[in-house]
Amino acid sequence: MTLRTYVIRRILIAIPTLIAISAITFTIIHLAPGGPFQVFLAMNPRTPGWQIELLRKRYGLDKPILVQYIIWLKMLFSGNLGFSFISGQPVKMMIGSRVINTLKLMITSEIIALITAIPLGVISAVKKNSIIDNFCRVTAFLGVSMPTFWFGLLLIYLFGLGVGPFPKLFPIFGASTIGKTFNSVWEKWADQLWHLALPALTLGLVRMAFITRLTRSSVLDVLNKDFVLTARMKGLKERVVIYKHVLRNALLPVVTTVGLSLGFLLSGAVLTETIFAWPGMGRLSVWCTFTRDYPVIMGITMVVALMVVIFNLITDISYAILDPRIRY
Amino acid sequence: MRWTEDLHKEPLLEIRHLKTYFYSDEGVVRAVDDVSLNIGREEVLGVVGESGCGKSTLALSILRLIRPPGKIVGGEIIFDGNDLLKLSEEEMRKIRGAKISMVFQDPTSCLNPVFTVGSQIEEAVILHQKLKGKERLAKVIEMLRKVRIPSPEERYKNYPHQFSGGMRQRVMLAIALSCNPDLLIADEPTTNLDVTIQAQVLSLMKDLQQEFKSSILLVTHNMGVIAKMSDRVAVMYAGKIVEVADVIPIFEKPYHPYTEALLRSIPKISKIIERLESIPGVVPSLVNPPPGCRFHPRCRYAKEICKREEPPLIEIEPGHLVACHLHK
Amino acid sequence: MTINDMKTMSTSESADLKKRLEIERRRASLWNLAWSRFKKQKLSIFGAVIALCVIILAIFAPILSPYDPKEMHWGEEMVPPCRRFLLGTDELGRDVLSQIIWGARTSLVVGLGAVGILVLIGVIIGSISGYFGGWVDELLMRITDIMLTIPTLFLIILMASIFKSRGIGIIILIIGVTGWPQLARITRSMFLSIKELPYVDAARAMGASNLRIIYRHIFPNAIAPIIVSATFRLASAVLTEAALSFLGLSDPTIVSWGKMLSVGHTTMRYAWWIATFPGIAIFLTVIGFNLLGDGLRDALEAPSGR
Repeated sequence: MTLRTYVIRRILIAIPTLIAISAITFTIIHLAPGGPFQVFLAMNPRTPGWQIELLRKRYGLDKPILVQYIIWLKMLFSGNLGFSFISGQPVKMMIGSRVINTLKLMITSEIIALITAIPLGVISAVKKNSIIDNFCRVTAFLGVSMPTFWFGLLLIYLFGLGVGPFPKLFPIFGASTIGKTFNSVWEKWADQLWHLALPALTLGLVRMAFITRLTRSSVLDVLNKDFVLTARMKGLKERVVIYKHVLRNALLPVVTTVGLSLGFLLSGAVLTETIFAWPGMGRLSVWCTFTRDYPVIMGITMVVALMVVIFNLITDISYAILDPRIRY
Repeated sequence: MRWTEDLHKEPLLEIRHLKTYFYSDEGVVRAVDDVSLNIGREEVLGVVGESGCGKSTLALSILRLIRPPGKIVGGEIIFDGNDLLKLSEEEMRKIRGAKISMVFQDPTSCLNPVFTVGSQIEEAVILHQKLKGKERLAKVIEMLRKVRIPSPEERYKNYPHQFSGGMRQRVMLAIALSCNPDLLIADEPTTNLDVTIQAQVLSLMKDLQQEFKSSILLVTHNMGVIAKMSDRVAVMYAGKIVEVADVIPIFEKPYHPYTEALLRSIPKISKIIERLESIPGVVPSLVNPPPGCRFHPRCRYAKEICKREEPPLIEIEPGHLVACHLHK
Repeated sequence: MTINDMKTMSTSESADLKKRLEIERRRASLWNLAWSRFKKQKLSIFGAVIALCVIILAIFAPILSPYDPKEMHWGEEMVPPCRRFLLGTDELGRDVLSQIIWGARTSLVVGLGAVGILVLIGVIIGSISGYFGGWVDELLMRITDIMLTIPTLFLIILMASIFKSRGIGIIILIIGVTGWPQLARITRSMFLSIKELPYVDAARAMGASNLRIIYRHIFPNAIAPIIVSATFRLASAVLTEAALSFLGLSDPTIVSWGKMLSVGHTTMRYAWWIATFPGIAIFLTVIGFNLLGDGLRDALEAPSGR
């Protein structure tokens, strides 16, 4: 089948998945003892009566559950994510800029991770059991066992506070310096990057550990294959054998796993955003959990699910492009 | 040693006292332990022996494709006036694929799945021949035609998984023969193929050998293949050569008890027998081989001397060598 | 020695092996072999030791802890590590060392509880899916895939939001209920491969019921990767519990390493010890269980030969 058919098929599968997720989300929320609205009211006792009435009408909170679900589903399909219980603001507006911030964090972290991890993984595998290999393996192991949030605190202490012998290199919260005026777009960007540094390093280095291990084991697997022997037999330089023959094959499972684990990266972003007060989705979702602002929580969940579905789609398509066995 | 008087007196490749060991946790595996062998010009030399006797290691050693934990620890391999074991890696690469090439056992994994078949053949051509783009393509198609792949002008664009096992093995042959090597090493080339395909591939190899005027070192455990293809035969056991002769004397008048046992264990369709003959005992460990003659624990003619002293390989008749205390 | 290895050996190798096995069979069972392999790995021993320490801390917390972890020592807030308070005190004057020791109990209780739940759910779903196949398998795997699409932390946050108050039991439940997909997958793949083996057919031919086959024949052989996976899930559950209490979504009345970290976050400039030690504690615990899992995997699923 052609690439186009493949893509279309994938997209078509994604839609029922999202619908199922909406159903699951809705169900979970409504498992709240007494119903989510009751829980909300219990945690926000000072909600004025008119607001309660408004919310009741908007969400059809008196109607049977199935109807409420259909109402919500219809809203989702028309792009409306609902309105906050607390502020009445459209959820879409609340989430909008935050999604972008989270994506900025994720993309930067992932780039840091990939640029460092893949070469390290390859070297580690090719020079198996050497000092470099052992060092990388130990570091990678420590990296995947390390709690992300603690690592963030560590980085803050080392580079953000200027305490003791450690320099104050980077800011430790927010996405930009408040109150500062910028002379050009470049300055604004530079300021952003400066603020992005520590959070991206936190998320990125921990992710790097994971990808290094992955790359290493994938390369080791490929090195055992016969076609590597064929390549050497032809008289190719070892460097060509590794970078042309081995890498193309070894990266296939790495691409897949990296792509499919982007959801994991998203989880990590929640914690990182909290530590660094980075104005992203993760922080918002935690905040809304405290205030029981259910529409926002549900909206965020759906957006997150959509993001993961899109990531998976991109991964599938990349894999189909890279591996001729899928397409032909 | 004197060899069979033949048209070609000067051997193509001379292996002298080759030792290839593997260093593992269990000890030193002496896979090739003092092997001396000659391959003449335009001849097919078959090397036969059970699994684990070291014949594949011998094949890989010639092209210096042995990787750690394996190591060639001693001996000489004289080819074209040079000792291959003393050449630099760069000089060796000029020989690989050009003067000496190899085909391997498993057709499923010997070709790189992400590159087209044509590009993999072309790679060998680019390395060793100075042809321009169009000429290279023509050469690729010509090679595919020579190995009897139908519609080569179309099929060179296909990927390995679009070919059957037998065809992939032929592609391997095309790669190996593309630069007209003097010696083709074939390590169990048909073991993983269906019996009918085996016959096709073998006869193709024989035809090509005669056309290209190259020699073949054919490694296998299958006496039938040996009978069909070889001009001369070397029998290997536990890392050592135990008998060498032209193909007919090996089959009609084997001197070494192991060769004799091998031949006896092939069931003949013309004879009615009650039990299949097998060689009693197990293949000896190459870490701790039996003292004296390595075959003595399984030999029905074993004498006292066999347990103590290793028999040297001597020429018992013109062109027929044997390493056995029975025949001195 | 995996099932795959046995299928691809040549006759001479398997003859050799049969002899060796016969000799050893009287002495060793699968577990003895696994133990001797396990012992050879120094790192796994190290991991096991760490895990044991955590367990001891958890069980004997009341005895080992120098102070009551919630006791606030007035006038001695934010004291750096000294002789009286070996790891210092936090912003309310509570001894950090005692909190760490009692925190071990929290982590372990939540970890083991959650793993218990997710192993139960995962194994049941995975075994049914793998054994019966067909539409049951399809359906269950679809559900598993969908569950895996929502990142775990978000799912947990979602679930945490519906409760008015979150006790430790709720936390265990939430972590357990969101963690079963990986285990279901592993169980399913083991069942899929084992049920094709001849001895299962033999059992069926002798009239064994489905349940008996699952219980007596398939399960004992599938158990190794499940144990390995469960160990890794334990490490992950400890991390998740720490993350939850760090975010403030966990039980506010219990002592938890994550909570200590969130406090430490705000006081880092002046009192580095409040954040450092619980972090080390989490780190070591996770390392310990990860090493243990690696070691178990090498021991129980070791391939033959090289």
